[in-house]
Amino acid sequence: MNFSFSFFLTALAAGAEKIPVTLFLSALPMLAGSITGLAAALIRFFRVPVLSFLVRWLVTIIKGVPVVLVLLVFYVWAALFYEPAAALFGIKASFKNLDKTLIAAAALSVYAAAGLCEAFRGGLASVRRGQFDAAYASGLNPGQTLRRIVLPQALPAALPMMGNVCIALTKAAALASMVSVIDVMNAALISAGSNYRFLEAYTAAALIYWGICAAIGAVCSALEKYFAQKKGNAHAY
Amino acid sequence: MPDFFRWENALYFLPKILSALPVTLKIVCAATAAGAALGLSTALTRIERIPVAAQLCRVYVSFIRGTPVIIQMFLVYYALPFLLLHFGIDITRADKIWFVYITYGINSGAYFSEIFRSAILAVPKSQWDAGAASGLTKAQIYRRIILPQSVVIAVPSMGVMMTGLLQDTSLAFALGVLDLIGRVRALGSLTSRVLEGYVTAACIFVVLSIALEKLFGFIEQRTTHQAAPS
Repeated sequence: MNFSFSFFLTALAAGAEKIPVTLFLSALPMLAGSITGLAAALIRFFRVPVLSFLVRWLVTIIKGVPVVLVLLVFYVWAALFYEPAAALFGIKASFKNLDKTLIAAAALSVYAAAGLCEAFRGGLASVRRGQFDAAYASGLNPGQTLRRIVLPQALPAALPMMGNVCIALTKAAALASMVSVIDVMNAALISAGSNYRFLEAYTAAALIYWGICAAIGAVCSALEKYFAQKKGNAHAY
Repeated sequence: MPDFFRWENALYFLPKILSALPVTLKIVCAATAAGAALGLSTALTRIERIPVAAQLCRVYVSFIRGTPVIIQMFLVYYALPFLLLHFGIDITRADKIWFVYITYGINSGAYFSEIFRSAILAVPKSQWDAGAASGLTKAQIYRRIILPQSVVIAVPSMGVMMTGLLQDTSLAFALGVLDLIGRVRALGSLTSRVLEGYVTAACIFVVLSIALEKLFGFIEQRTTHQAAPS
């Protein structure tokens, strides 16, 4: 047994071709998770009765379940409910033709929402109480206070944790190969299917993920630097 | 409507799935023990800026943090026998659980090292000076002054990390190990009912995560209480 460098390159090319799938699997959940996560964080921050309690438990439960289980449960649910649900609306659809990438994206969105809720909550908590008082004293209503004063301070504060969630999502996206999505990992593995050179295939996939995560990390620290600079300028006035 | 979920099935599965719990807990314990040792040495290597080794440690931490744990597991599974064969050691017949222990040990080592590193650096510089002024050697300062304080600082992040580790170990089934999820899938192929099993396993994981969180909350309370009077 030896390490075939030429096959490693083949696997690397096969995997790299599917980078968009992996990026889609982290970008869409990031977007959907940001919207629901922000709403959930605001519900908890303003201690909305009942809903706040509900959000707290939902986040605890989701954070307690391994993401692979969320993915597998969503897949089984889709297999069971997709056809009957479509039939309910009079659409003839078959599970076989359903894009499994969407199932994975939906499962990862749930996972992202819980992580981002915590990130935004941390950001909101970092905004000092006096900022609210000052905004209310200036005659802004709660909606304006949130949009103009609080969120512009809370979101940059949440940025490091959002970066962590994004990297965690990219890595979790590799699990989509378990529900037969052809992403970076699966593409690299498929290329090894004929010659059983899995060591080369996994090495190639690992390098691609490493590159993607390093790039996300670099973008995040650049953004952090930008916002820190902006904040420094604001204090100078 | 076909029956999608049956509570009696979930109850029937529960004891069978719980019987696989020791496997999962063993993986977590082995990974924590190996990871803490590996993490501490990595953190010290990087803080002391030992030439070459410090750079290697940096690459190691970056690689582990930048790649999915499932790929790390298969890399260990395929690469380790391949590498050891060069030294004349044949482990291709070894029990798969050992590859899982090694993977999660290496994996948590990187995360532990980051936690230890920031905890050690968080100890005030004056502690170093005071130790040196008292005539302690570097090793003594580390052992008696710096590390006891940094462990207290590290407790909260260790709690978060351990919860993550517990969930990450759920991937051991991909290698064919009969942990919680492995058992669910085995039961699933036996009875062709898998949803109840997944939901039961999810409940077990939630309970374990909350228990772990509470445990670390308790440790945190105790350690900060102890540190307070100084």
